[in-house]
Amino acid sequence: MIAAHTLKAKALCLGYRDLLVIDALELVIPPGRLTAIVGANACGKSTLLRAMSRLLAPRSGEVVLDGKQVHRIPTKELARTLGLLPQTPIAPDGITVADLVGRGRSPHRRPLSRWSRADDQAVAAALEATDTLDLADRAVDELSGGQRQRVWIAMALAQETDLLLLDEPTTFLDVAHQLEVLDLLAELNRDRGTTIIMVLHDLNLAARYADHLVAIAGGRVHSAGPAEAVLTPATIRAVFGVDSQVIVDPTSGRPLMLPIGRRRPSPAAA
Amino acid sequence: MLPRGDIAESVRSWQIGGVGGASFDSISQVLPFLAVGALVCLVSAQALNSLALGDDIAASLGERVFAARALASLGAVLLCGAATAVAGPISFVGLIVPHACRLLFGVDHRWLLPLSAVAGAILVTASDVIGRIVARPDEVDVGIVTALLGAPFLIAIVRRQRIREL
Repeated sequence: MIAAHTLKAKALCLGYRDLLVIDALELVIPPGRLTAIVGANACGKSTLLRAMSRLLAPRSGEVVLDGKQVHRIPTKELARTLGLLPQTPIAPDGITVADLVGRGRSPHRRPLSRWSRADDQAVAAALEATDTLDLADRAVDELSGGQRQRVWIAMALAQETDLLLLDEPTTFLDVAHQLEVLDLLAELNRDRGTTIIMVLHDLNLAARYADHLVAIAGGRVHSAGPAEAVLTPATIRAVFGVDSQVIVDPTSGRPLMLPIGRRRPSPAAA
Repeated sequence: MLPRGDIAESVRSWQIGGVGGASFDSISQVLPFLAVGALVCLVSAQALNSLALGDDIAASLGERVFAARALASLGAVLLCGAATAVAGPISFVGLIVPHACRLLFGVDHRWLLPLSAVAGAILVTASDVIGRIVARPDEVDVGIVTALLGAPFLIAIVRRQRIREL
């Protein structure tokens, strides 16, 4: 299923009413890689993600998938190539895990058509990949936050898209569950070749997991590239307005950002 | 009330629904609307399943959110309009039945819609029978019975949801 899809934003302007959030943004998503989008609150990260998954129409400019504007691609066809998991999705009361994951199959089905073997297999594979097979008959509202997020990712996987966009998939999760979700996404990227694009708040987790880091500031891409090139004190200063030190993470070898607050206790005298 | 009993009766029938006046003649007039409405609703069941996950997910699953919602609404309006034209306003059936069915049979609209149709018919028939039994030799209109049954149920559902939000 690995097909190299190219997703680009060209001179993209996005906004709500009078407010221009993204201004003439240019972005190329490397296919088959894991991309993390970072930036300050309200910098337009989520807006950009919504536009890339055609939930928001651009003011001007375009989002192009494999040479076609995403807003011109028939919606079911696009849904078989590109999936989006929004920030805090809602599950209907009492829905079971298997039922929720099964709903990810809807772009592959026609109205009133019967459930097919391919649907069954896709759901089973999605449950297995997210380690939620045991939960299949449980109600989604009984699950823990981490389990629930895995179930939503399973739903997005059942959709069998080559591109998967996630808006802050680790929000509200504790550190163990954050790692669990990001490890899962890294596995999907490695094993299935799914192109993953996620908005992340935690810079260090972004640096550790992403092949490609995109920092957004002032409605544009401030810098993009491998974590080593993007996560520098200068970029962090420009994007977040925070002074920091960047060291090498002893476990992953990736850059690790240590913010310097205004209240700075001096290091104990040696 | 109006001085003329026959007119008062017909005015009242538009305030409180009943199935006593239903005949195959009146049903055959609305049959096309019922048929089209039922078909539209069944076709949109899958889209409703996606919409239940929120507009963003529905759109990312390839649903045209506005069109899907408009189609499902059209189906519901056709069915409600046709039923009301024959029987008058029978309150609470539409409130009780889908909620009860959701609790009993789960949240898949492809089952929920036809099961709600059957359960709604059962509730109306049962209410009509009750209305004829309790006030013999007169009868209590079905709309009154369903309101008596429905109000407590509605309160229970609202309370349940408030508890869940806590």
